[in-house]
Amino acid sequence: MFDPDILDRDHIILKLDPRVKIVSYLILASEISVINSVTVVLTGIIITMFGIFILRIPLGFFIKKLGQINIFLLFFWFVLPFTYNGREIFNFYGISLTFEGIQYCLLITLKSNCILLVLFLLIGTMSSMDFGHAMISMGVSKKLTFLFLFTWRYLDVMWRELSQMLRALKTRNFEPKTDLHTYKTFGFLVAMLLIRAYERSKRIQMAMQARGFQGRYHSLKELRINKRDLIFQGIVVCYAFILGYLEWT
Amino acid sequence: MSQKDTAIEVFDLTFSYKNAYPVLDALSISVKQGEKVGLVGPNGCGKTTFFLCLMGFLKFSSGQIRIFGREMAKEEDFKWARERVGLLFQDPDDQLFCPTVLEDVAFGPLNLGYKPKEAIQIAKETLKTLGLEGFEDRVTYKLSGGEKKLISLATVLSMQPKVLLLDEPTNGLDEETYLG
Repeated sequence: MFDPDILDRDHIILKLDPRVKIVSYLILASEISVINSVTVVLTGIIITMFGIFILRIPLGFFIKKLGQINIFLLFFWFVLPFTYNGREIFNFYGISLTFEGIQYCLLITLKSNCILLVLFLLIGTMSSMDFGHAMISMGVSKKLTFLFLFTWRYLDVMWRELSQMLRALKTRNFEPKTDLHTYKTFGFLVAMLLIRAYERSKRIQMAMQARGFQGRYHSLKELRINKRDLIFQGIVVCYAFILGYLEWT
Repeated sequence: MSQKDTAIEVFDLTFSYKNAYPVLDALSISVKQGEKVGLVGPNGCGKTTFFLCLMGFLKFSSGQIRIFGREMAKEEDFKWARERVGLLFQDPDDQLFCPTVLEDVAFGPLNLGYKPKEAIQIAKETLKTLGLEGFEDRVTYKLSGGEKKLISLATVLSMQPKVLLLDEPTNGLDEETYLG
């Protein structure tokens, strides 16, 4: 999710206050999720794409991620149009394809894609640290924020430990089968991962305390909302207003 | 021996993990300021344990530790000591927990009460003295093993400690870096 490296360091979207971006995302995502008209969602996508174009963010940044998630949405297309009540388009041995089903599926797909575009544009372009700082300054509990930041940082280490252990299994000719030995081995693997994570967390705590950590987290960046942030927030509110106007009048 | 030029004094330090024979048995050692001491021993002989005792992370059963003449009795004493003694951990992944190198190197100075700007300045200077310019914005978990090791050294040095405890500092470094 957090992938700001892809952009130039002084890109304007990176300079916006993360709190403004989070609030903008929350406004847009909650609005788009309750819209029920395909054309309004399409308008939303077009406006967002226009924004992406104006901000000159390479489209490749979005396409790969969107592709992965749309594969997941494909499953809806296999099921929903055939199980939804409505006007029948054709009937195949008792399974009927309905117009409403297709429309509903299309709506889900467009809505998801629109929300994801906004997500990648606003949240995807900040570092995990910025996100954490914004969370703290917006009053989210410190524990939750730390939990988030540390999970993000150590996912990679956990993944590496898991693959190391899997490799160690393979070099000793382990092949998973449906037997007790396999279940036991995987049980050990998961248990080992948990124990290692626990041990590591204790070492990290010691390393932090060794460098004078006393429970208070200092940030290098000062969060300050300036004119640019206000203008951006204004644009987002206009965008939300346009969508709301189209949908509910 | 005058108290003033001794950095670390340890008398009869005994420590054992739960239900086991003592790892450290009546250990006494004295290190003067500016002195370099190497602790050599087989695996599991208690080198890391000794460091963790010195930093106050493990509670020893008997003995006495003095750092710069001050006796280490309570957590407060150890907090005082940690501002003066830097510990480099064996595994750099334990030490580096911030997303970017600069944030991690500036973490110590910020805890010492420096302002963000000063902390950034100190962090940049520390990286420069280690020949690690240009690493500031690198993501810590994407560094190579050796690079991680060097950056974790920078995170300790940025606190300008008077004593450095290095736990297996040359593990995983290439010969050139090791000798340099």
